[in-house]
Amino acid sequence: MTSESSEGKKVTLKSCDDVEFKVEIPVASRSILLKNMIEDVGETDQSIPLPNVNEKVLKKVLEWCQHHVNDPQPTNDDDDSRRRNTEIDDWDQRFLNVEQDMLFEIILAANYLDIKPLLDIGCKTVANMIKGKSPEEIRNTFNIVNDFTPEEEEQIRKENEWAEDR
Amino acid sequence: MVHTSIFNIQELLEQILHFLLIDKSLYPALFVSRLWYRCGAPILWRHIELKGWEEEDRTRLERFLKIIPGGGRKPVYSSKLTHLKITHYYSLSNKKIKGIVHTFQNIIHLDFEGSTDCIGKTLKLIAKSYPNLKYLNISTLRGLRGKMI
Repeated sequence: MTSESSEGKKVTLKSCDDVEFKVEIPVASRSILLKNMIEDVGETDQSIPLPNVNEKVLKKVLEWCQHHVNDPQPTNDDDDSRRRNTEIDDWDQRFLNVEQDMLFEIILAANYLDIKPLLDIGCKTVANMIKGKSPEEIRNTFNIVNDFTPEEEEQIRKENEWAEDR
Repeated sequence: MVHTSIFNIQELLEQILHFLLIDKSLYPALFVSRLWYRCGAPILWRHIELKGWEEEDRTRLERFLKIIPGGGRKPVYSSKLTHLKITHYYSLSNKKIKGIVHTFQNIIHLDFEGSTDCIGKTLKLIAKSYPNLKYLNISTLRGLRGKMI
């Protein structure tokens, strides 16, 4: 199904907390998971259940899909160019200026729904939060436990010291 | 959803660490936890580029060459290194190159531009050790070029 032929047609998505969203097919098709499902199932009145995404997150993800509805579908080459820099455009930066919990849930949803450009900017945003922090600060920010022994840490330092500032 | 769960999905953690490498901020992340180290170190070791003429890189280069054993224990992720570029480092002896070849067995892209002038011996050693090499540059400062094989 091409985006031209599907213009105006809608599909119903159902969040894990049972809220339904009627969405234009080209918008939903920013998600490769949904695009494939819609192509496989064809036109249907039945809603597509999304057991891993709640209403709040789905609403946010669909806002992103709506804004980027006319972007070309990513190819493998795009994958490379997107992954070669850490730039995030202004609209996306504002879009991801959310609480940490919401940011992480958007990333998980983008991963589940297979929306690579959204996943990339989400991961870039987390990388920007990590940048410039010490290991201890990173652990504190994300509530991660240090499970290294001092000997292990020393060994890692010895082997990777050449990469300081890398 | 637990808010730290993105770091428990290896694929996502690797993607985040990949972006840290682009921003030259990966090193501190290696010390966060064992999982972060296991995901981050292979990314760090895949491509290594060190320029001998740059002050900062020179220190890195010397640190890097120090961990290349003369036959002892190899660095844990040495097998991940496929692209190595050491340029304009005039003290890259045949012995050091031997050490590199012994330590990093999966190199497919090797660039020693302006770092070696032992062409004959070096070339033989490299050719013998890396049958899968796709790119080689051992050109010297004196203008002798040995690019591409």
